[in-house]
Amino acid sequence: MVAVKLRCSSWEQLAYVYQNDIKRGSMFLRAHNPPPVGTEMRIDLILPSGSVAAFEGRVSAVVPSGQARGPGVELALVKLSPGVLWMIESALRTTAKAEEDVVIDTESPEAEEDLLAALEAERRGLERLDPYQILGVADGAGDDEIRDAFAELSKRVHPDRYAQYESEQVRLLASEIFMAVREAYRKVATADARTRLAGARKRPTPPAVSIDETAALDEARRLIEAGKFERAIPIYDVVVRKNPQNKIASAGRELCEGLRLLAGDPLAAAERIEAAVELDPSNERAARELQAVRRTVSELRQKFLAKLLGRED
Amino acid sequence: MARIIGIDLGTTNSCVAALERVGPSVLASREGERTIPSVVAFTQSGRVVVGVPAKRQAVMNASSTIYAAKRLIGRKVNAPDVEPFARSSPFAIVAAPNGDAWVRLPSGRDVSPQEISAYVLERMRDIAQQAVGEPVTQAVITVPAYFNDAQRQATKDAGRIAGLDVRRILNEPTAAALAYGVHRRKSRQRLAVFDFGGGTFDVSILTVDRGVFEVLAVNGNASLGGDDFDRRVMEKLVAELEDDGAVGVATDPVALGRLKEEAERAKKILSDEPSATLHLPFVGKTGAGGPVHLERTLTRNEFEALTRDLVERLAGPCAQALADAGIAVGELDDVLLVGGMTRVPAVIRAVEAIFGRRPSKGANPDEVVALGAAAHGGILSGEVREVVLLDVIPHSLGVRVGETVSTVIPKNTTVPARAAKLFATSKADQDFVSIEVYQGESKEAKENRHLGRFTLEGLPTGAAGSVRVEVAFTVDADGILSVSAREPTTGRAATLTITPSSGLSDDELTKILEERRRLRATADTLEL
Repeated sequence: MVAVKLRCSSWEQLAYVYQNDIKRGSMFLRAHNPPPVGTEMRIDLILPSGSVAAFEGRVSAVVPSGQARGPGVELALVKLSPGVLWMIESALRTTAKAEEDVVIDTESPEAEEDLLAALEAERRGLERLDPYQILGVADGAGDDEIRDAFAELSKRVHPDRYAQYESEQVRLLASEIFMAVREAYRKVATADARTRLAGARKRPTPPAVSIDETAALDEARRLIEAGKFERAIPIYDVVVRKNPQNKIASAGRELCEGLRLLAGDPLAAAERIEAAVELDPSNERAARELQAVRRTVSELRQKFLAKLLGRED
Repeated sequence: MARIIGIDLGTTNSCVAALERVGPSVLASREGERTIPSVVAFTQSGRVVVGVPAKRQAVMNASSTIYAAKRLIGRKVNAPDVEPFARSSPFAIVAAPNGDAWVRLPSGRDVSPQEISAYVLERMRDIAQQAVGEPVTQAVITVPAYFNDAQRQATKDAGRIAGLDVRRILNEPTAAALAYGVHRRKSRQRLAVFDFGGGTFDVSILTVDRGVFEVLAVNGNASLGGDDFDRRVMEKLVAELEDDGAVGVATDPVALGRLKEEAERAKKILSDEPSATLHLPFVGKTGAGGPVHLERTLTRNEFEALTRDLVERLAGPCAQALADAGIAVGELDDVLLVGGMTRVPAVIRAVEAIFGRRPSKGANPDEVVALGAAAHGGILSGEVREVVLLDVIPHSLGVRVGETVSTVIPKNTTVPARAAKLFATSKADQDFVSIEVYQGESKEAKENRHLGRFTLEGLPTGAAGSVRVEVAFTVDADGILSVSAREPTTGRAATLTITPSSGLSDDELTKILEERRRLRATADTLEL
């Protein structure tokens, strides 16, 4: 495996690379001595903020000099974790927001209420993120990167930052957020801690199901795929009543409820979908939806951070 | 934005600083003093004097001149280290109704250490107001990192009595690290702060990275300081005088006061010179009434022999702090010296031996703590944004189970912090539990400090161990603990915010505050 470090010097460059390459699962590397097709590569993409996004890929084509962006190689990304995408997206979004110059006026009582609402959303949002997401780093992040992320977040969310506010509630919420960040840091700060966390996250094998239940469940799943999840609910109900141990059916029911809530209350939806994934880790749709809803939740959070950034910078 | 000043309330000297445009700077008194002796005297005419004037009249008025109130604040009179202090102090130390160590003036009036410290704080506040030219109401006050909950609370009360809104009780070594400006160094730093003052010894291990000061471990001895060194010399001198035929020196407050001061002076000289001359005429009397004079040379070697065991007590806490922080001596990037006692050659040698390196000395070890406190005031007021302090609790917190303590939040946990633990009932059909909160490191409950007690009633009945109670501890950024207990099936809950069992009650505090207001009012009228 060939390891390469790439530095993105500007947010514009990152946005370009992301839009044209990474999002499509590919990447172009300029090279005068291009490695042969099939070479496995590990890319550490250093963002302008200093965070590192790691990918793995395989050379899919060699582009000779004079053609397209050549000389270089086209890389097909094989390992592209949602965490990495999330990090890049949120970094880009935060920058865009910061440039819009969002400033919270901290003096008026309404502003304090705004801040309270933003902190409360942040606190609730954090509940649904894993330690890496809370710190805003990729799953494969190393000691230095994690420590940097913790340092930057600490400076923003530590209750001392909010000491000048009259409202005790503001400081209380800030404390809650800081404690969540601190706890996330504790869970991933060292290689040992990260190994323990990975062990704890290993998923159990899906539960076995009897034949006629399987048919009913297949029908329900088709309904969900067709977008008719409200009609799938009664089917799951029947199965669950017959066999309360059937985790697949319970999970399906939670997923349907979650999908129903999605538009109105993403936090509540996340809770139901999370329950579905917990009950039945093999439910791919639920896992997918969970990623999506988490992204929505973390967007709320990024908005909040962008506001803080806007104030600080 | 209201200004928040930083006050280092020391055992022997105090210092005040404020954040100026260029950074924190020490505020000097009108007389040009940058530190003020933490000495408070109650004169016969009923006046209270603070600082140098108090120290100057101490010899004439030893039993009403109170120094080192920090040694007593938040402590019980029967605490093992209060007793030797009481034995050699020229003023009387008595037990308050709740067992706290208070001072009894010759007039018969009992004064709490909180009130005495409040006079010093008031003086610091006045200095600050004169220096900045505007009223000052808010302060960050520093305490030794190893101070326990009661000592912190009592210090906060002293601030209240002095008319200050105490925005934070800050640990001295952390404050010092902030003032040393280590966050401006490029790479991540691992530091030890060795803080040895007039009455307390602290060691903190911390990392500083991109403006984040993260304390990893603290340790120390809240009653070991320069005072003890002075007392060693003084006790030696008393013994020698009595050998020379003097009687009653050990019980004569005036003689003790003079000897103590002379011992302190000699100690300071011995930091730079190989010997010091002690000279006190008419310090004692023989049985027949003849005068006994003190006339003697004290060498540095002699001084070091007298105080060797005190210096030896410094190594243990340092080793423990390093072990708790998980950092080897060789991994430290720097050792910072704080406090007047770090001028003593024997202490510097001990630090070099403990940490295997030459420590860094700031321009003035007496001022860094106040400077750091002022900088932290800037963090709290929003003026300083590039720095944050992550401090820890110095002592473990737990709940009594039988004769032992079950730790809920271990020492050196970053604050704010929260933790919960499940406990089961010990008897069948027990319909209430009494939750006793302790602070300390011993497994034995009785060897720890009792912080408070509360009861959760109305528990469901059941066999012993079948009913569970969840006890949750929360420590806020100020280090104030609240404890709640909940029975999950019924949802019954009870909460306790720890107000120290040793300290001033709200009633007492209100009374003192009113008295102070009245006195201030008369003082104002008198000046007209």
